[in-house]
Formats: sequence, structure tokens, C-alpha cells
Amino acid sequence: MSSGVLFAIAFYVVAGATLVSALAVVMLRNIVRSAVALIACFFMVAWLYLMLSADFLWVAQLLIYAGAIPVLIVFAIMFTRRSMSDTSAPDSNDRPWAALVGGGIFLLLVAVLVPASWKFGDWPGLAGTTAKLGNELVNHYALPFELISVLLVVALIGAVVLARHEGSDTT
Amino acid sequence: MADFLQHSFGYMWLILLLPLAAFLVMLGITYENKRTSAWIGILAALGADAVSIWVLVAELAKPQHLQYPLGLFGDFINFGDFHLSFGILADPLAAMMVVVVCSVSALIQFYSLEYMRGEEGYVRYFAFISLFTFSMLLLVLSPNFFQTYVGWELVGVCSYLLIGHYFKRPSAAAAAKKAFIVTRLGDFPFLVGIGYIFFRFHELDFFALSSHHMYTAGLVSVGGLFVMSLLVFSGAVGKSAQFPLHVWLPDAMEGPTPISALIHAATMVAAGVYLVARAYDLFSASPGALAVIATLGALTSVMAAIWAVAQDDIKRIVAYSTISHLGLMMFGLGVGAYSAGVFHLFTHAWFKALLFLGAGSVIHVMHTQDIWEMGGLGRRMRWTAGTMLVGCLAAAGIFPFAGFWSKDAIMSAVFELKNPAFIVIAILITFFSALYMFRLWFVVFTGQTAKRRAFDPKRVHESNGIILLPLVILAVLATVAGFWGAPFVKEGFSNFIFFGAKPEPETANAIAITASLGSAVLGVVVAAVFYWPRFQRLSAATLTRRYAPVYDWAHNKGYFDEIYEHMFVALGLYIGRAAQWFDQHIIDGFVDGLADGYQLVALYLRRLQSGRVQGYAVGLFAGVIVIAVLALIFGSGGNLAAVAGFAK
Amino acid sequence: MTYIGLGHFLVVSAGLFAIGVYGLLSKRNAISLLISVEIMFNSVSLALAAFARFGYNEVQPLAGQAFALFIIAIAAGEVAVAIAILLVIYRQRATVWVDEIDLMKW
Repeated sequence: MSSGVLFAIAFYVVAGATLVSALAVVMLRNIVRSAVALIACFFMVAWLYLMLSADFLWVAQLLIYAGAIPVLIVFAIMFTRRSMSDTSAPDSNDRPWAALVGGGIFLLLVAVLVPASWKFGDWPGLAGTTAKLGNELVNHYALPFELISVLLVVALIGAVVLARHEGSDTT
Repeated sequence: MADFLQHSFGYMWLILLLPLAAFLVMLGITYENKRTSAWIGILAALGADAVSIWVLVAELAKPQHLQYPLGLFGDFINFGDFHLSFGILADPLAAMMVVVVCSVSALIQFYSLEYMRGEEGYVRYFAFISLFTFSMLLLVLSPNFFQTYVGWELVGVCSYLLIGHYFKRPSAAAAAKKAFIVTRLGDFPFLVGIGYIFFRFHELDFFALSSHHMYTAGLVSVGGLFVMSLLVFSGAVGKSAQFPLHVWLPDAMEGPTPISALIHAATMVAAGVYLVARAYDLFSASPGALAVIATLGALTSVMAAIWAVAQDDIKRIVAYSTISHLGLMMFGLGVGAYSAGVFHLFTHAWFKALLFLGAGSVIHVMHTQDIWEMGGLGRRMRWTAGTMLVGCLAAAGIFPFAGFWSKDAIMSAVFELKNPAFIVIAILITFFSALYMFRLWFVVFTGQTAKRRAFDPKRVHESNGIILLPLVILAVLATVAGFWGAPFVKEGFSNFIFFGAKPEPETANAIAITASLGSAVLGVVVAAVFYWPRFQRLSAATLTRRYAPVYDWAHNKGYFDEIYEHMFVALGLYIGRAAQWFDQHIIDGFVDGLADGYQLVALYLRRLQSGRVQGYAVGLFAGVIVIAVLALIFGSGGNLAAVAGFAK
Repeated sequence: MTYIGLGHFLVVSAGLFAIGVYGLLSKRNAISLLISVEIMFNSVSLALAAFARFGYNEVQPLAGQAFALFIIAIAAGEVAVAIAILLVIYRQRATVWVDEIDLMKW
């Protein structure tokens, strides 16, 4: 088996796992299980990144999406206890509509994206893209990069201010 | 020596930086510490003053025009031919004005040390004075219209903050709002005017505009110039409280008295006159605009002078005096007496600050502003009375005090025009100025102290040294400042600050001097006859009763507040009535018929407005799909296969 | 030989996006909505990373990856703020069911 076939098999396995776990996220009735499925989904997306030679994204995805964000979400689930105990009806009445719209979006995207005549570039066969990406970030994207840091600080402060208990500013 | 003076221009940025830094330090660092904050403000103003005087002396030694970009902001916005920049301008006019602003600010802050003692918001007060000073300096040192406008608006904001210092008092809050909104009525046309200038000349720099003779180069028609001048002048009308936007200034004394002094002498209202002087090239290019300025100035001046005679509030009298004097400056500028108008701005700053601070000293002791509750203070407050007398003499234009020389210069120019109406108005202004000033002085400082409930006249005593020192300094300045522009001084004011070619040595106009001095003395005599108990021959009370309508008109400031109110109320009523008719006959008839139909439709439609975000989101995404599909179909001209890429 | 091209990744991306949309529209729990939004973010990042790989050029190499990185950073901030808002709402209304939070209804 050539490496191409191996790659294809790996891709189908990972992509399938990604979609299945994503479906599990939205299908499961228990939100804690849904959060666990989310971790699996993000984990799989990380492997897709690796297949795209995006090794830095792979690490970032593992750290932030498969690591930090699920932790936050699990915390949020625990803080809002009612959502854990009350599993009566996790889905709204609009569910059929939602399915219809979701399916419609999928069809539309596939119908547009797949046959579109993309302009392909020559992949230089980089083993890793981290160094190049780092270069790009501090050269081309220096300003957005800095702005992102400001945004994160603002978001951090905003989150603290919002979530703080009222009347607890004496502490 | 010449080198030393020349170096001064390199330090001009300090004039701007020091007050701004003081403001920031006070708010950020020393907010808790009252005395330190106050002294930071005073020292910053004094430092700026020292540099200003250095610059002024350098300018005096060798008048020159210099311009510096202001550091990082030197090229603030720059794309295409659109430039906005901040800079520092040094020329005689700016140098003179900067000294006035810094000196008055420093003296007033020193005075406020005592005057504001124990008041709420002590540090806030000093911080805003520093900001106010900075804003005014930014405006004065501005080399272009853009920076002028920035300073202009900053001055407006600061005046709002300071007039509303006692913002818990509804009247003060209302006065602050009134000052802000009324001046805005002038600011907006000013901004439009600046835009007009820019789109005609692609230039906002004063020096570039004047040195290239852009106004007179025929780029704009005579009518266009007239409109342009009036738009810019509108800003000055608002800020300098000229008719018809004068109504805010008397109310502005709701702020602390030193603030009134600052606003009236050096900062806010001076900005308008300064603007006219600064942009005089524009105005001189349009004789029609100059005529408007002169007429409005004269009208404002004489009306305010008459109203001042009928006021009972000590600060209100001085406030109307300010309007009158500002009108006189505009009058002077309007009739082409550029140096004289600016010179009056200069002398007026000293004696008006003196008058307000003196009034503040009286109010500080008496805890009232009604002159009829005062009286006889001359014996108990000798220094205040003496300095106030100097201020009154200067304001009335009595030889040899400051006001005399500048007023005389304007009078000479007016007399040379040989326009009888202007001459009569000028004489009336002088007469009434003397009358109201000395009415104030006689009523407050002579005779017996009026006995109020729970008030013992014996407890009236002189204010302390911190209040008196600025008064004395200002009194000295109000006495001597005028000699700079006296006709017999060789290299006087008019040889320093002038417009166009260097003027001929002025010859004193004997008729003008006689008329000016005569009417002023007459005013003093009339005031004495009515209000000085020792010379009283006529009772003001009987006279006001006999001519009640006139008195009421003047006492109620010409009913302008009422007129404005009624005008807008009536306007509102008319619009309201029309709208009501339209509403009842046309809209209602139409709507009533439709209402039932709508109700029927709404019965079903309102289920869509569930308030649930998700329902909306479903619609949103469905809409996206529909639009995308439609775009695909129509965007491809119906050839779906091409869109999907199947037919490459 | 390569059997897997841009299209394959884009289909996965589109699938993830559609699943996210479905979750966003069908779930009642606000946290589930948040999770669905995260899935949609991921689908876009994936598409961008795929573009970076297959549409590589020397003028702006790896632009897609840079954008994907920015998305990850922004998503992190977004989650923090969103959860904070959620907690505030929960504290005030004792519910995370979005159909019970009908503040937008007049």
C-alpha cells in the first residue's frame, strides 16, 4: 500500500470519527455526555490539522479546544446545576426545522465548495509549518496579533466583571 | 540677550504641557490631597506664565511669526490633500494672549486657595481650571482652524464642568447646560464654516491662508466669503456671548466666582474675540461681514450696558458688563480698529478679573449676592473697596486707568467713521458703563450696611491676604496696563499687534477723547447722584416707578429668555396643532380602517415574535440558504451547472 | 499518489458546520448552544487550514493557518465571556433553558 492509500484510510477514519462525535454532541440528551463527545470531536479535528501539516494548530487545538474550553464548559455545566439534573427535554420544538435548515446548509455548502474551481498552490513539502507561521505572525500579522492580545485581556476582564457576584467588590 | 530671548520659542510646548500635566497629576495622583493639588495647579500656571512672558518679551524685542509642529501630533491626520495637524504658533497676538491667560489663571487659582476652602470638590475644581487653562492655551497657540476648533470645544466642555461645579444645585446644573447648549448653537455653524474654508482652499492653516492671500484671490465669490465669515463669526457669537446668543453668560455665574472671573476675563468669552482677531484676514476680505460684526457688537454692547444698570445681583452686573465690553471689542474689530479691539481684550482681562475677584471677596464675606443687602462695606473692607474702585474706574474708562486707553482707541476709530448712529451708540455704551459700575460701587461700599435677619454688620471684616494679593496685583495691572497702548507711547500696542501694514503713529482724536471721557464722567456723576448717600439728590426708586416699563425691560434682560422660550414654545404649539390636525383627519381615518385588518393579520403574525432567540435563528439561517440559492441561480444567469463548476 | 484533496476536507468542514447549526437551532440548554458554536468555529478553522495547505503561495504563506490561529484565540475569549454572561443569567433567572429566556419578547 502506498503512503497515499494509507493517508486516505487515515483520513476517512479520522474524518468519520470527527463527524460521528460531532453528531453525538448534538444528539446526546445528557449534557455532560455531550461535553465528553465534544472533547472527542475537537481531538479528532486536531488530527485533521496534523494531516494538513498544520502542526502548530494541532498543538493549539489540543491545548485550547480539547483542553481548556471543555474544562470551562464543564465548569459552566456544574455551576448551572439545573442543566445537569433536568434532562427532560433538551431539544426544542423547532427540532424538525433545525434539522431541515442544518441539512440545507450542508447541501448548499457541499454544492458550492466541492465543485468550485479552486486555485491550487504548490505545496513546498514542508515538514513542519510552525517556524513559517511564527514568521508570518510577527511580520504580516503583527498588528492583528497584538490586537488579539488586547482582545483577550478585555475578554478576561469582561468575564471577571460579569461573573462577579454583585456586592462582592469589597473583597 | 537676543539669543536668550530667541531660545524662548523652543520652550513654548511647556506652556501647553504644564497645565495639562497639572490636570492629569491632580486627577491621577494627588486627588486625595487638597493643598498639594491646588499648589500643583498654581505652580503649573505660574511656570507656563513665566515661559509666556519670556516669549512675549522675545516677541516685543523682535516681532516675528513662528510655527512649530506639536511633536507626535504635528501631522495628526494626513492623507491626500487632507491634513490635520497640531502645532504651536508664536506671533505677537498669541504671545500677548498667552500671557493674559496664564497670568489670570495663576492669580485666580491662588485666590481660590482661600475662596474655595472647605468647599466640596476642591481638587476637581483645581483640576478643571488647569484643563480649562490648557484648552484655552491650545486654542490661542493654534496655527490652524482645526486645532482652534479642538481647543474651542474643550473650552466649552470645561466651562460646562466648572459652571456646573455645584451640580447638586438644580440652577447650577441648568446654567451649565444652558451655557453648553447655547454656545453649541454657535459652534455648529463654526464647524460648517471650517468645512467650507477647507473645501474651498484645501488649507486650514491661518498663516498659509493669509500669506497666500487666499481669501482675496477670487477663489470664493463675495457672497461666499460673506457666508463663510458669518459662519466662523457664529462661533464667536456663541462663545463671546454676543446678541442673540448672549443669554448663557449671565446664568454662567452659577459657578464659583473665581470661575466667572476666569471665564469672563481670559478663557471662554475671550476665545470668540480672539478667533475674530486670529481669522481677521477672512473678515477683512468681506466688508459685509465686518459691518455685521460691528453692528452686532454695538447692539450687544449698548443693550447689555443698559441691562446691567437694572440688575440687583452683584455678579450679574459684572456679567452684563462683560457682555457689553465684549460687544465693544467686536464693535472695534468690526469697524476696522483691529489693534484697538485686541487691546481692549487685553486691558479688559485685567479689570474684569479684578472686578469678579473683588465681587467674590464681597460675596465670600457677606454670603449674599444681592447688592441691596450690602452697603457700607467700604469702611470694613478697605482693600477690597479700593481695588474694586480701581476696577470700576478702569471698566468705566476713566483717565488714566486701563479701560480708558483701549476704549478711547476704539472710540477714535468709531469717530473717524463719521457714522452718527455708531457714534451715539459708542457714547451711550461709555455712559452706561460708568453708570452701572459706579452704581455697583456706591451701593455696595458706601452708606449703611443693610440689616438682614440674623446678620450683624459688625461681623463684616476684610478678607485675608490670599484673597487680597491677587486683587492688589490685578489692581496694579488694571491701572498700568493701559499705558502700553496710550497714544503718546512710541512703540505701543498698535505697533506690536496690528493687521496688515504697520500703522501710522496714532494721533489722539481730541473729540473722541473728550466725548469718551465726558460721557464716562457723566455716568459716574449720575451714579453718584442716585446712589451715593452723601450726594444723593434723586431717588432711584421713584424713577424706576415712573418709568416702570423701561426698568422692567432692562431688569428682565430685555425679556430675551422669555422671548426665546415663547418663540420655541409657540413654534412647538404650531407644529403640534398642525400635526394634530393631520393626525386626526388623515392618519386616523386611514389607520382606523386598516387597524382591524392589521389586527386580523397580527393574530397570526405575532406568533413569530416569540421572543425566543432560536426561533429567530432558524429564520436567519433559512434566509441565508434562500438568499444563497437565489444568488446562485440569478448570479449565474440561470446556468446552474456553471456555478457548480461542472462546466469548466 | 494523493487521494485526499481539498474537497474532502471541505466536506468534513461543511458537515461540522451543519451539525453546529443543527445544534444551535435545536438545543434548549444555553451551554449546548455554546458547544454548537464551538463546533462551527472548528469547522471554519478546519476549512482555513485546508486552504493554507492546498492553496499555498509564497506571497502570503500560511495565511489560512494564521487566521485559524486567530479564530482559536478569539473563540477562547468568546467562551469566557459567554459563560460569564450565562452565569449572570442563571443567577438572575435560575434557568439556562433559552426558551425561558425571552427578554427579546415585547
